[in-house]
Amino acid sequence: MDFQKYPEITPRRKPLKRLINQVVLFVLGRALQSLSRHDPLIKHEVQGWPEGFTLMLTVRPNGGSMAVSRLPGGVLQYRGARFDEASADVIIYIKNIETAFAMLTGQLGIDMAYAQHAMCARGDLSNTVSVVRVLNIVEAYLFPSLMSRNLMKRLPPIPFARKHLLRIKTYLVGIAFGI
Amino acid sequence: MLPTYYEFCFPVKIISGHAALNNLPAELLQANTARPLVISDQGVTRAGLGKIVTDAFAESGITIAAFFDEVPPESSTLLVNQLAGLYHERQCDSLIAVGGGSVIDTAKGVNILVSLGGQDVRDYRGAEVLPGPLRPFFVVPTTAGTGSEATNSAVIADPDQGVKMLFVSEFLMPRAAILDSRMTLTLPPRLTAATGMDALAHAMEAYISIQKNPISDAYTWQAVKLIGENLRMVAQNPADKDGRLALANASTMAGTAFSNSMVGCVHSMGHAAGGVAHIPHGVAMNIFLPFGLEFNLKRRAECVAELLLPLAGPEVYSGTSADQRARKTIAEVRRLKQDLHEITGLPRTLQEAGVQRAQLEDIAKLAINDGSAMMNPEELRLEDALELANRAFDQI
Repeated sequence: MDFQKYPEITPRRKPLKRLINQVVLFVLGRALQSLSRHDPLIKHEVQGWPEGFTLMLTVRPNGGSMAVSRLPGGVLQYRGARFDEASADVIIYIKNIETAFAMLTGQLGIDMAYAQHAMCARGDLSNTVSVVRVLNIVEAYLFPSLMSRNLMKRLPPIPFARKHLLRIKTYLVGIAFGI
Repeated sequence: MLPTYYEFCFPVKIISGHAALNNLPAELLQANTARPLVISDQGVTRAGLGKIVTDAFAESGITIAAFFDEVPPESSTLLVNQLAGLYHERQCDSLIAVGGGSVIDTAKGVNILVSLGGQDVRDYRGAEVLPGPLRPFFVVPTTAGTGSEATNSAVIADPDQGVKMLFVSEFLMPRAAILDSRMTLTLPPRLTAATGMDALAHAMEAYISIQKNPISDAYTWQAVKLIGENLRMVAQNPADKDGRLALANASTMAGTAFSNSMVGCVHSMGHAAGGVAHIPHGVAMNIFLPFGLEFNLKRRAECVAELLLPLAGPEVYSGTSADQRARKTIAEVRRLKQDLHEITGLPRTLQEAGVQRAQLEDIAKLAINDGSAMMNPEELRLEDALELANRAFDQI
C-alpha cells in the first residue's frame, strides 16, 4: 500500500466567521455590562447571582470568548475576550463555530441551542435559568422584535419606550464604553 | 415531524425478569471485574433486598468488596468523597447501586471520582464535560419511578454551599440495569403509586418538551402504555409480580425518554414544592402533572392528544373526537390521580400534601429558576408558576 496516497488533513480556518463571532461576543459582553446598569429586569436577575460570580462564554476550541463578572452592587462588568478559564465560575462552551455563528447572529435561540446540545458547561449550574433569561433580555434589546420572536418562547416584558430608548443608548454608548 | 437536530444516547443493557439479578455476577465477569462496591441504603437492607443481591453472588467467584447501606435520602458530595475513599481502600474495581434515586446518584458521583481521580467530586460538576468512559457500573433499582438507572445525570447536594450540584454526562449511565420484580415487590401501595406517577410525568413531559425526538417518543409511548395498564392494578394488588415488572420497565423507559428529551414545568414545580415544603417528589409529580399539561396545551395540544392512545387505550381514543383528545388525556390523568387516591390515599392537592398557602409564592419563585423550566414548551414566568401553584393547592 502506498501510504503517500492518503493525505493528512489539517482543519481549515474560517477567519470571517471567527471574526464575526468574536465581534458579537464583544458586543454581547459590553451590552451585558451596560444594560445591567439600566434595565430593571436584568438588575433583578443579576441581584440573585453570587457576588464576584464570573460567567464565561467560549466557542470551542479557539473560536472566541467573553466573560462578565457580577460586581458588588449587582452590576455586570465585561472582562474581555481572554479571561482565564480557571477563574470563571461557570464556563459555557459552544461546541462548534457554525452553531456559535448561528447563535450569535440571531438565527438560533438559546433555549433551542441548549435543546440541540449545542452547548456544554463546566461549573455550578444553579444559576443557569437566570443566566438564560438575562441573555434573552439582552438579545431582545440587540435584535429587532421580529427576529427576537423566533429566538425565544416569549419576548421579555419590556415596555415599548424603554426598549427603544435603551436599545439606542446601548448601540450608541453602551457597547463602545460599557456605560 | 422530525426535529431539525437531535441527539439520543442510551448505551445501557437492560436485564429484566422475575429473577434477573441472578445474572448480575455474569455481567460483572463480562466486564472483567471481580470486586464491586455495593452502595445502598437502610430501607433496602430493612426490606431484605440486600440479601437478595448478595444471594445472587453465591457460587459466582465474585467477592463483594464492601456493602455500604447508609446512603441518606438526599445524597451529598461529602458522602461521595468518603465512598471514593472506601472504594480505593478495598481495592474495588466496579460499582453496584441498589436503591432509588439518591443511592443511584451517589454511586454515579463515586464513579466520577474513582474513575477520573481527585479528592472532591464538586470539581467535576457541569454538563457534558466529563472525559470518559468511567468504571463498570451496574444499577439495581428498588423503586419504579426515578428512572435514574437510565439517565445521564446526577443531582448531589453540596452541604457546604447548601445547593444541589448537577452532573450531566453520557458516561454516568450504567453498563447495565437489572430490573428484578423482587426488588420492588415490598414497596408500599402509596409509594408505588407516587413513584408510578413520577415515571408517568417523566414520560409525558419528555413527549412535549422542546427537546423531544422520535426515539425518546417511542420510549415514552411504551412507558405510558405500561403505566396506564398496570399502575392501578399494582396499587390494588402489590404482590402482582408481572405488574411490578411492567412498572419497573416503564420507569426505565420513561427515564430513557427524559434523559434524552428532558422534563418541563411539572418537574420545575415539583422540585420547588419539594424544596420549600418537603413534599416527596412522586407526590408532587402526581399533583402537578395535569396542571403542567394544561399549561402547555397552547403549544403542545397535538402531542398531549396523542398520549391518549397509550394512556387510555384504543377504545377511549377512537371514541373521543380529535379536538377533544388533549383534554381527554388530561382528564384521564386526573381519573388516575383520583383512583390512586382512593386506593392508596395518595394526596391529590398541595393542601392534602400538607403545603401551606403561604408557601405558594416561595414555590413559584423557586420553580422559575429550576433547570427543567428551560425545556418546557411554554416559558414559565413567575405569574404562571404562581397560578399553577394556586390551582394545584386545592384543585385536583
